[in-house]
This record gives sequence, structure tokens and C-alpha cells, in this order.
Amino acid sequence: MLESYIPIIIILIISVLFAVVNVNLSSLLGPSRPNKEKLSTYESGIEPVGTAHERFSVKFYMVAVLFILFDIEVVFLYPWAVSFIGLDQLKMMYSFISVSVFIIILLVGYIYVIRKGALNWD
Amino acid sequence: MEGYTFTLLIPLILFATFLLIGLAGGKLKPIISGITGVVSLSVVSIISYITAYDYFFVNGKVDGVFGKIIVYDAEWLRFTDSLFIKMGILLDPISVMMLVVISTVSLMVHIYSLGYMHNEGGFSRYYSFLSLFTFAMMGLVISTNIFQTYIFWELVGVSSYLLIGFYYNRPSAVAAAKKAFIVTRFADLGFLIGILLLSSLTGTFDFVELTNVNGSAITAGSSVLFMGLSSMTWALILVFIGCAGKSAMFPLHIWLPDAMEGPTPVSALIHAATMVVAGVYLVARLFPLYALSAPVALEMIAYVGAFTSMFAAIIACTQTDIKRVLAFSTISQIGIMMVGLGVSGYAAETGLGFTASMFHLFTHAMFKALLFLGAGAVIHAVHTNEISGMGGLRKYLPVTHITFLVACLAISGIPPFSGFFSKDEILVAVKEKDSFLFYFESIVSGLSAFYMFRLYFGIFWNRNTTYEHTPHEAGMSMKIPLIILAILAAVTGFIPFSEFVTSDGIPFISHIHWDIAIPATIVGLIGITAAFIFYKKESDLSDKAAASLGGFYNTVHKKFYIDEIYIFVTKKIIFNMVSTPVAWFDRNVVDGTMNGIASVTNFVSEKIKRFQSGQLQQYAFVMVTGMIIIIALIFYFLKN
Amino acid sequence: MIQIKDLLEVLPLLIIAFSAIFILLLEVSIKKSETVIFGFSLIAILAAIATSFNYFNKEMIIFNQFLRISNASLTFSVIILISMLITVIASKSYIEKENVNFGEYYSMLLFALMGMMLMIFANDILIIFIGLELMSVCFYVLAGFLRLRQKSNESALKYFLLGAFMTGFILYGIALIYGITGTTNLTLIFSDAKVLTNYVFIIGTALLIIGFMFKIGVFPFHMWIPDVYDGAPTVVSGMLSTAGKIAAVGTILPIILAVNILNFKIIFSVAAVATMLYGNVIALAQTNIKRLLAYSSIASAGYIFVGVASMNEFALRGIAYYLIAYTFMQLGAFIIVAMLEKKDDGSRDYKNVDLDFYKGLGKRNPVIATFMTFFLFSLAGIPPFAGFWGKYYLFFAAIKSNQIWLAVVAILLSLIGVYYYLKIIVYMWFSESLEPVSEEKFSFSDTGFAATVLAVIGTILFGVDPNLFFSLFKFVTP
Repeated sequence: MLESYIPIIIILIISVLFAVVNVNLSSLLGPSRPNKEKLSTYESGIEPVGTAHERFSVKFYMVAVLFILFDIEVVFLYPWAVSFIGLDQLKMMYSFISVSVFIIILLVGYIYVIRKGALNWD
Repeated sequence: MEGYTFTLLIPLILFATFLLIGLAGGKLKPIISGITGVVSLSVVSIISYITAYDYFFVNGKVDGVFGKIIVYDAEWLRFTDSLFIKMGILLDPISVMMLVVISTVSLMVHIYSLGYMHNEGGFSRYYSFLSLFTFAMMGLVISTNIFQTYIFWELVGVSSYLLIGFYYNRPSAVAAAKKAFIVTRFADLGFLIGILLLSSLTGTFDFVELTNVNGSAITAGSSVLFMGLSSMTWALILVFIGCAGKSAMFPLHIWLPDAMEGPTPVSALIHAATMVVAGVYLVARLFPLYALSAPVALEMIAYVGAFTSMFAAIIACTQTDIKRVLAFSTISQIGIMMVGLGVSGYAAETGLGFTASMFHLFTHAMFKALLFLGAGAVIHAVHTNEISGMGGLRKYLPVTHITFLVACLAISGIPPFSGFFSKDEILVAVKEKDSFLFYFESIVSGLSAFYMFRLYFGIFWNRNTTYEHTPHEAGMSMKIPLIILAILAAVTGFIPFSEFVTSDGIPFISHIHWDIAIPATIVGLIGITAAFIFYKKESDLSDKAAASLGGFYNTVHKKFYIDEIYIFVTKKIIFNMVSTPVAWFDRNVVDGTMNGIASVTNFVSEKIKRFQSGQLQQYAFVMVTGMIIIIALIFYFLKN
Repeated sequence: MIQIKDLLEVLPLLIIAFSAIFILLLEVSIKKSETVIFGFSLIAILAAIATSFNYFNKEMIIFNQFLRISNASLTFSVIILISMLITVIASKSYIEKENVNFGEYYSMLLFALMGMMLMIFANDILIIFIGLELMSVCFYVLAGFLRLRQKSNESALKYFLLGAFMTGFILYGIALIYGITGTTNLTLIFSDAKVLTNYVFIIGTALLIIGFMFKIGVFPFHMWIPDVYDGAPTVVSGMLSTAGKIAAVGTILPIILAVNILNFKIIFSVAAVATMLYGNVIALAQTNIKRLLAYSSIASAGYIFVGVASMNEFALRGIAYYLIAYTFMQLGAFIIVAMLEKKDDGSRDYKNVDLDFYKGLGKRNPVIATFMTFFLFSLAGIPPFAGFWGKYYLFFAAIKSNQIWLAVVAILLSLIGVYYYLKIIVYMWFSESLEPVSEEKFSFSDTGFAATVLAVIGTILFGVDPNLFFSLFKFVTP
């Protein structure tokens, strides 16, 4: 039973190795000649002021959360779309209605978000 | 049965009236509360009359028998499958009869009170209590089971407490109310134990099952003996103790005379016609049980009743407060009813005593209510209760005079007034069973004629007292009930009672036994004559007679010192010898322990309050610890 | 495939779900929509209650075996609906007073309601989990609904953190159960008798139950309750302590009874005793009425667990009865506290929630004081109020399961409860008022008053006629 997990484990190991090796490889292979200017924070040439742990406007989070929300919902649609063609007529209708309900609920949320002005930047 | 569902309205209307007047009463004009009460009682009376007509003349009789009809019976409280309490309405000859009696007397009292109470404060309170009382009484008589009876029995007790103590700023009234409540509560303890014993023997609270002659209840508990009597007999004796408390049988009669502190119409309603006969009613309700499975208890009832009737009649002859005379007369008459029940057999003509007792209950309710209301009218006119402050009132109060006379003739058993017929039937029944009791009761009957006419002559004839204010007849609202009741007291004797109310529901025809009726009437006339000689004119004859009796007269006048004995027993013996040490123990040991526990708990509470620090880390820590302990426990239990 | 007719079988659930979503649309499409939304939510809940009664005595498993409709689950869902109905009515005036009169509030309530009903009707652990999360997330938001009040924020955050923490355990439990049985369907899980004795399965179930014990507030998972109820908007606290608990009890009770881990009766009994002890004893020392009611709700969780520990056929009756009584009395008490609370003046804390404020309330405001007295009497378990019968049936179940000691301890501990409930009553009627008598203006137009009247009616009605409940919810006499 556990054998079937082996490919996953291999992929896991490879991906971790890939990330770790690449990041470390660049610092190992590349030349390293630091000076004061180089070590300071890159602020497009402007002198860095204050701490990096700034408080961000909640709007950023709002957009991020909404993005994730709708993005994930869209992910659901892919497997549905793929298997939709292969179904017989009745099931096609059935699955179409199901997804329509799903989309409508999503739509209500979307309308709410828009009308509440959650995406307005001002 | 479908046809009687409207009887549900009787308790509902009364209770609604109580709530309405009780809650809104303070905001209404007093007279509106009064009229609301009267109107609602009129409706209830009409419903009762329709029920009675329907039951006795149309639907009630099936195959020549007046059966028990369960109109409605709903489960009210279910403790377990076998133990549950119902609430419902039961119609049978005696409950229908009681419906008529209660609604009639209560209606009369309601109307009468419009006039009698109109100068008093708390008019609305008075009427709401009256409605409550009538509701409780109705609920009591229509009970389908003994537990419902008990509930309403207590409710009757409470409402009578409220009514006796109506003048709550008068200490004597408060004391009287307390006394009535405590004495009847004490008796009710016996009643409650009786109920529990009865139901554990028979396995039911239900009257229909309890009194089913062919049922199992009749024979239940006859084999278990305790002190020579079967346990069923004990149960019924205990129930009778409750009845004796409510019906003021010796030695539990002490509350009734004091209860006269209440307003006079209340005395008429509660202490003459309705509540005090509840005991008689309950014995009648369980009559098949008494007659068939506990004749010993029944015999006891007869003797207690007989003794009480004589005892109270003797005291009544010496009292000077007219309401107290009536109170003792009531005790005496109820004793006679108890005798009637006690000597009765079950079924057909051997059950004459039962019929006669119910008959007497019926006629007594009418003429005794009339007497009380008449006394109320007299008190209203002369503002005193003492007989010495009255005299010669016939000129001032003609209506009261005539109606009072009718009532006196009725209670003395003079034909053709109602008391004659019912008392005659009781005497006939007594004679068949026990000739000693017969002579005994004949003397009581003579005594009652004597003390009633002593009262009558004392109030309306005797000397011509001069009054500060000229007494005058009360208003129409007081006169009308007097006249109606007088007519009832005069004619109700002609109702052929045995054709309606019998012990087993099968009607029979009874006749007047002239061989007993004539001597009884003569005894009554002797009593009246004696009263005539002593009290018709102002004379010192009565004082001389009293003086010649000396110490005996004083003893009687002081009601045989029964009250003093009670006080001695309760105060000296119980309070001092038992209660004081117990109270000390309770206060110091029991309360001390309790207070100790309480303060320890409080202390602990204050200490562990800090445990709730408000810190999330700690909360999570406690939760995880708890979880680990639970999982560990589960493993432990799995291992074992 | 899901049958279309299945939709008809879950009409109450659909009504609530649809209304919750629809309210969002209403909120953004109408101006000044709060009153409309209020009315709409009321109608939705009433419709759900009305339709619920169609499904009694029709035991069925529907929706691809995801949902199970039974008398017990319907009973719990109706009790929750009633609780929510009263909450919604009381909320209108309260959120106006607190200046948070937003339509989303009602939407949140309805979404939470939907989650709770989903949980109760669930026949699949995953559905339970979805319902639980739907409910919990709404609860977190509701607890922090007074955005400008520090206490409310604190309450929401604490609730969220601890709730999320517990959710982890629930998920872990679910994973263990799934790992052993290979299914999440409850019918299938319980059909295999061998599985029921498996160690891992028992641990998984225990973790699941522990997660719900957290929601119910059973010792030692009760720590969040005082802080959260204290900080949350008062009406919401009332809702959390009634509907929230009922949902958790209604969900976990069938599982406990089905797993029937009789060996562990003692664990539940001990938990029950510890909970009652903790709740009742600490409540004695409280000076804030919201905290006092919170501790009293912990104690109530203990009483409920007396029923759970009985694990017999009387337990369900007792718990259901206690819960409906509890809904009326606890919610009623919270709503009265909410009504008496001072109007929002930008302060960080709630005003007028000290016990001292209740001194002399009987003189200042006799109607409210009378109602409060009814609720407290009922909570103390004094007949003829519903709370008495609730405790009676619970303790009766304990006695019937041969745990007489548990019943005796429960009665003794509930005596402590009588002390602090009566203390408030004494404060209200027999103490001198610390506030000037005339200052307080109370208006009967406060919707809280209507809600309280409903609660009083329930408290008295079910107290006077206990059989009403059993006949209403088609309980069969065991």
C-alpha cells in the first residue's frame, strides 16, 4: 500500500532539493564582494527610513483575501469542465445545474463585494 | 361524553374572572369589579343549572342508573408510566348537585356583597378572592381523581385563608385566618398520607376506579392488618381526618367559630354552605369504599359526627355573638350529615342515610346561607355582633325578620319547610341502624330548635332596645338574595331527592315516615317553646337558668375549654418542651454547619477565581492537559 | 446522484440558506435596509420552524447519505430555531443602541444558523465539520461585532484562537476515524461492530468528542466561556450560550450514543461533576452579571453532561427538555441584561452590567425585574418553571442508569446555584437602589421586551405543562 506513495515522496524530495540547491548554488558560485552601499536596503536609490515591518493598509489584505477566495473557487471549475464532456445527457444537465448553483452563490458574494466597495482603492 | 364539554367553561370562567378582577381590579372602579363578579357567577350558575337539568332529566340516566360521566380528563403531570396525575371533570349525582348548590349560594353572596361590602376598602380584592374561592370549590367537586381533589382542597384552604383574613389590619382576623389555615393544614397532613396510602394500595387516584364496586380497589388492602384494622381502613380513617379538619368535626372544630372574623357574606359562602361541607362531600365521593371495605371507619364517622353535633349544639345555646351561634349550629348540622353518612349502607334503600345526608347538605346550604346573610343584614343595621345589643328589630327590619324566621323554622325541622324533610330522612336512616343514636340525634334536633329560636327571639323580639341610629332595612341588593334564599329554604324540601341522588345511582322512592316525623316535629316545637318562654320577652329567666347550672354553664360558655387545651398543648408542651430545644439545635448546629459550608464555598470561589486569568496560553495549556488526561484515562479503561 | 425531491425534505435548511444569501443582496441593493432585513430574517426563521414540523416521524437518510433526518435532530434544530428567533427579535434594538445596525449582522446569524442545522442533520463527519466551521466562523465575527469596543475584539480573538486550536484536534480525530474505517459516513462507520473496539478509532472519536466538549464548555475545555461571553455583544452571548451549545450537543449526542462507549461512562460523569462544581462555585464570586451568567452556562453544560453520562433512553428526553428550558431562561436573562445595558457612548467596556446595578431594580423597573425573577427561578430549578422539569428529567435519567451518586451530587451542586441566582433576586427586590430611581427610562418599544415576553411564555408554559414538549416533538415514552 505504501509503495504507491513512493512517486510522491520522490517528487517531494526533488522539489525541495531543487529549491535549496539552486538558492545556495548561486551564492556559492557567484562572486561575493560586499560593500556598505550594496548591503543597505534597496529603495530605488532613496535612503531607507524606519523599520521594514510597516503596517499595511487593510486594503491590501482585502484584495489578497478576495483574490484567493475567488481563485480557489475557479480551481473547482477545472475538474468539472474536464469531466463534463464525457457525461451522458442526464448527468450533464445535472452537473450543469449543480455548478450553476455554485456559481450563483459565488456571484452573490461577488456582487456584495463590489457593491460594498471592497475593491475600491480610495 | 361529548354533550357536556361546556361544563369546562365553569372553572375557566371563574378562573378568568379571578385573574381579571385580581390583576385589573386596582384600576377599575370597585363597583365594576363587583358587577363583573356577579355577571360571571350568573353565567356559571346558568351553566350549572343547564348541566343539572340535562343530567337529571335528559341524558344522565342510563338503564335506570345515574352513572358517572367523565366529561374531560387530561393528563397533567406524568412522573412515570404508572404514576401520573390527571385533571378533569366528573359528573355524577353528587357533583352535579354540588354544582347547583355552590353556584346558587355563591351567586347570592356575590349579589348580597354588592350592598354589604360597598363601604369597605378592597372591594376588588374581595371579589377576586370570591371568584378564586368559587373556582377552587368547583374544581374540588368536579375532580376526577383524589389528587385533583387534594390540589383544589388546598386551594380552597388558601382562598378561605385570604377571605377570613380579609380585614388584615384587624389582629383578631389575622389570628383567625392563621388558625383556620393551620388547623386545616394539620388535618390535611392526615389526608395526604391517606391519599398516598390509598393510592399505593389500589394503584390509582381515579375516583371511577376507586369506587367501582366490582373493581379491584374495593378489596385492595383488606388483608394487610395494622393494629387490628385493615390498611384500607387506616387509609380511609386518615382521609377522614382531612375531612374532619375541613368540616370542623370535633376535635378539629376550633377554627370555625374564630373564622367568623371574616366578612359575613364570606361566612355564609364558606363556613355554611360550601367549604365546610367539602369533608362530607369527600366521604360521600368515596362512599362505596367506606361502605364496602371499611365499615369500621364508617362507624367511627357516625360516632364522631354524633358527638360533634351534640357538643356543638350545647355550646351554641350559650353563645352571645350571633355569628358564633350560627357557626356552632353549622358544626352541629354537619355532624348530623356525618351521622347520616355513617349509618348508611350501600345500595338501594339501605343507602337512605347517604341520600338523606346529601339532601340535608342541600337544604342546609340554603337555609344556613340565609341565616348568615340575615345575620349580616342585622349586623349591618345595628353595627354589633352581640345579641345583647339587639332586640325588637322586627319593626325595623321586616324583610330580614320574615326570611330569618323561615330559616329558623327550616333548621328546626318544622313542616313544611325544607329542613323537616331532610332531617326526617336522616332520623329514619339512623333509627334503622342504631336506636341509641336516634334518640341522641333527636335531642340534638330539639336543641337546635332551641338555640335558633333563642337567637330569633333575642334579635327580633325581647326588649325594645333603643339604638343610636335607627336601624333600617338594607338595599335591594341585600334584600333580593334573602328573599330568593327564603323561598328556596321553604320549598326545596319537596324535591324527591331519593329519585336523583343515591349511593349507587339507582333511584328509589322514599316516603315520609310519620311515626318518626311527628315526634321529631314535637321535639322541635318543645325547643321553640322553651326558647319562647325564656327569650320572647325581656326577663331574667334565662339568667336564672344559667345561674342554676353554675359551673356547667360557664364550661359550656367557654366552649368546654377546648381552645385553652389546644393552647396548653401547643404552647406549653410542644413549643417549650420540644420546639425550643429543636430550634436551638437547628440554629446552632444545623445552621452553623450550613453557614460554615457556605462560607467555605465562598472562600474557595474567591480563591480559584484567579485560575481564570484571561491568558490564552494558560487556557490552551489547561485544555491540552485535560485532553491528555482524558486520553490516558481511556487507555486505562481499555486496558481493564 | 442527489434526487430533486431530497430538496423538499430539507426545506427548513434551504429556507435558512437561501435567506442568508439573499440578505446579502438586500443589504447592498436597498438603502436603509436594516428593518427590511430584520423582518425578512424573522419570516425566514418562522417559516423554517413551521416547515420543520412536517418531517417528524419520518426517519430518513438523504442527499447521498450526507444528511439524516430524525426526530431527535429535528427537535434540536427546532430548539435552535426558537433560540435564534428570540435572538433576532432582541437584536434589533440592541444593535441600534450599540450603533452597529448593519444588515450583515442578521446574515451572520442566519449563516451560523445554517451551519448549526447542517451539523445536526449531518450523517457524514465531513458535513459535520463544514457545518461546524460555518457556525464557528460566524460566531467569531459576531463576538467581535462591536468593532470599536476593545472587549468585544478581545473576545472575538480569544474565541477564534482557541476555536481554531480545537478545530485542529477535531480534524485530527476525523482523520483517525477515516484512517481506520475508510469512510466518513456515520452509518457505515457505526455499522461495523469490530471497528468500534479499535484503539485508534476510540482515540479518534474521543478527539472528536473533546472538540465538541469545547464548544459545549465542559470542564476542562470551558476556559474560553467567561471571557468570550463577557466580551461579546450581550445578545450574541445569549445566542452563543444557547443555540451554539444546543448545536454542539445535538451533533455529538447521537455519536456518543451510537458509539456507546459504556466503559467510559465514568469519564463523562466525572467531567459533568467537575463542570458543575467549577461553574457553580466560581459563579458565587462574580460581580459582573455577564460573567455570572457565563459561569451559570458552564454549570448548565455540566447538567447536560449528567444526561450524556446516563447514556440511556431517558437521556435524550432529559437533554432535549433541559435544552428548551435552558434556551428560554438563559437567553431571556441575557436579553434582559442587554436591555438594561447603557447606550453606547464610545467607551471600551460595557456599562450597567455590575451586580450592584441590579440592586433595587424591582422598584425602578418592576416589569423587567419580575421577568428576570422568573428566569432566575427557572435557572435555579424552582417549580413551576421549565428549568425545574429540565433538571428533573436529567437527574431522572441519571438515576435510571444506576448512577444515583451522580444525581445526588448534581442536586447538591445545583443547590449552590440556587444561592447565587437568589442573590440577584434579593438584590433586585430587597436592596436599596444605588441608582436614582427616575433616571432609567425604559420603553416597551424595545424589541428586547417582545423577546423577553416570548421567553417568559416559554419558561412558564413548559413549566406548567411538561408533557406539552413531549407531545409537540413526538417523543415516544420509553
